[in-house]
Amino acid sequence: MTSQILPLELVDKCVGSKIWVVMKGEKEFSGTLVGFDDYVNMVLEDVTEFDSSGEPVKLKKILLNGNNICMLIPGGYGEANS
Amino acid sequence: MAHKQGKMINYRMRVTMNDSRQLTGTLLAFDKHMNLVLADTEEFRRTKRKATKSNPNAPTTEVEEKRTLGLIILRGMTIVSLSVEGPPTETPASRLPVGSGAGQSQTPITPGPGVARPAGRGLPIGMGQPPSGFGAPPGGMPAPPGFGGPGLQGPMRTNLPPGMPAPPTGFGAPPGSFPAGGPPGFQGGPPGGPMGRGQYPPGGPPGFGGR
Repeated sequence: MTSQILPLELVDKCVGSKIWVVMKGEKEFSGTLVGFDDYVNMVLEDVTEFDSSGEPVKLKKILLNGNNICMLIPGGYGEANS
Repeated sequence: MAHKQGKMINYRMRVTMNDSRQLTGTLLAFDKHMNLVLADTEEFRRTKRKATKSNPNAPTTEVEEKRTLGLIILRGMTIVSLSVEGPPTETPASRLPVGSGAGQSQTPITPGPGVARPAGRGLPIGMGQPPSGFGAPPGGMPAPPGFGGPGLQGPMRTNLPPGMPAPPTGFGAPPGSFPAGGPPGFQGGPPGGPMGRGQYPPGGPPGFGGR
């Protein structure tokens, strides 16, 4: 009886749906999770990049280095707030 | 120590991160990397606004930014410390809104038709791991073997009667479960990757093939 659902199992359930990724700095990404690997590098589609300053930037498809990922929120940007 | 953290599951935790952010949330799960799953999470950022050029004599003000995040997965790498913020949210039912205002009286929630008893397919006590190949609910979300069933009951585990065996290894993954790197059948891991890959026929477990 250890912790029964591991964090990365939950990430796996998010594949194919919207996810909101908060990086270590000020950057944040929201997009559809295509896949991830053991390092939690991730591929996202239809991404919006949020920066501390300036406009959100739209990106078609990105590979995100897992090194700089801080937090993953299933459901996409702003859904927890609304 | 690790055993202690097993006991913190369902507690309200305060997490300090290495970029001076703090999060409070209900701890649902963790793994050997200290990746956490937190529910009902709120983020607090204390930013010190120093005197600006236009007004150099302005006092240093501390601005606290707060955001509601909800259910999150937190990377263990960025965590500096963890502390208990409050007692556990006892049952999923206690999350339901209780009639506000009218004193402290909590109207008892009437029990539903369900009966709490073993379904006869779970793990015998001490067995440690469900047999592979069981657990995917019929017609439901495809789950890798050994993943569904009791695995989804994580938050409920504190409701077990006392005397249940404690977690065998605190921070470690349960035997036979996925190494924290990701579930088996997920492609593109590092070479010499984690164990468990060989358990399945080529193509990965049902529901995971072809990705």
